[in-house]
Amino acid sequence: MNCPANKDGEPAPAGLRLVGEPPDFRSVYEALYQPVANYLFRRLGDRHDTEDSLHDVFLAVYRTLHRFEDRGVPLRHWVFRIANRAASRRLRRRQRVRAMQQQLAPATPAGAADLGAAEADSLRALLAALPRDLQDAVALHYLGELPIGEVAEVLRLPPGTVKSRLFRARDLLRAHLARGDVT
Amino acid sequence: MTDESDPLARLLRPLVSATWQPGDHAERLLRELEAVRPARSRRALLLAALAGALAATLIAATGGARFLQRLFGLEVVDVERDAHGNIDRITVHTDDARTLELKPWTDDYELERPVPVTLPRHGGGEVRVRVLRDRDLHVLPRFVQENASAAGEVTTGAKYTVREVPCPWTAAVTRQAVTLHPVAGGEKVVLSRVETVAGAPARYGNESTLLEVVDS
Repeated sequence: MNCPANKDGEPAPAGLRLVGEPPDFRSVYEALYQPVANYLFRRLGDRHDTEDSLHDVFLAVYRTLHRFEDRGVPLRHWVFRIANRAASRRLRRRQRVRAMQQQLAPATPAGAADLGAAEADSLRALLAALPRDLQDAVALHYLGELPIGEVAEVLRLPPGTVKSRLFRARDLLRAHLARGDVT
Repeated sequence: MTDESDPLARLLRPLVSATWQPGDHAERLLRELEAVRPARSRRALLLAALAGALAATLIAATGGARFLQRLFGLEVVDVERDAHGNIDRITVHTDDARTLELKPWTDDYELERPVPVTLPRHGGGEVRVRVLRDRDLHVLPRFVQENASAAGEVTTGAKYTVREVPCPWTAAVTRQAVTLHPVAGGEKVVLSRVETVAGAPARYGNESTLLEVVDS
């Protein structure tokens, strides 16, 4: 999808708007659909969950865009904030469902049909084992490909705190790997 | 972000290499969204849900949730709307002569003021907290309608009988964290202590949830 063009014919990043110009949903959607979809897909790993989350995210954006005011927060960060919450909600729901399923039925061994998918699932499980505040920082930075400054904006944290969370996450993941939590 | 010297970047490379292939989804979703009537926002939909399965989150004037532990009646006495026709605030009278304000819940909602809530303590007893932010854990009391007669849009004069949904968590408080244990089983949620000014009550939480422990 193409970014909308501004008056000079240059693409207008979704985080920038002319002063006084109301945000236009279609422009926001066209600029942010793919990066948000990439982030959700990498974090959730399931096409249906990603489509459902995309629906939730952009419905929230569509319905509240008219009340959006910059207040120093670019649209892109605001949308990623909504996407991050949507992903967290869905992951928690999934964990609850899995916990219930495990109570109701014994676990079945995973098939070896798709080693790539199995590896991705192990990595997601490894991420899910991190404390939630670390998960969000890691996911936004690595899976959402946001620079540390933008992760800080999305999570409303100082950049130094994001850096320390990433540092702690590395330590914890190293410990998990040393224990053989992922292959 | 793809720095080869970063072990985490190397570890997560298989995930990052996956790119969403939208197919016709992007166009389909856009058409679907643009067909939604903007005036009927999610805020209004959630409040309309007071007449359905899920009631609005109670935002103010709980004065502690104890009186809400029983079945009680609500009568809508005022519905305020914004310039777009979306419901902004609902004022209700309860059958024990209390006046409550219901505010719509949205994804980016911030509470206007802390709401006192009593949570069951993990292992027995109670923990009194003030909720400053509650986006998805449902620490604030929630309500479901008991009678299905008043369906549809929320209007002045509409009456509902509601009951509180049992709190899905029990709470354990330490100096460093509040741990929420799901009553129904599943993974617990740890809310770490956040920095506050000296002498202020201890606060725990993250971007989605923020609690102030009053009495544990």
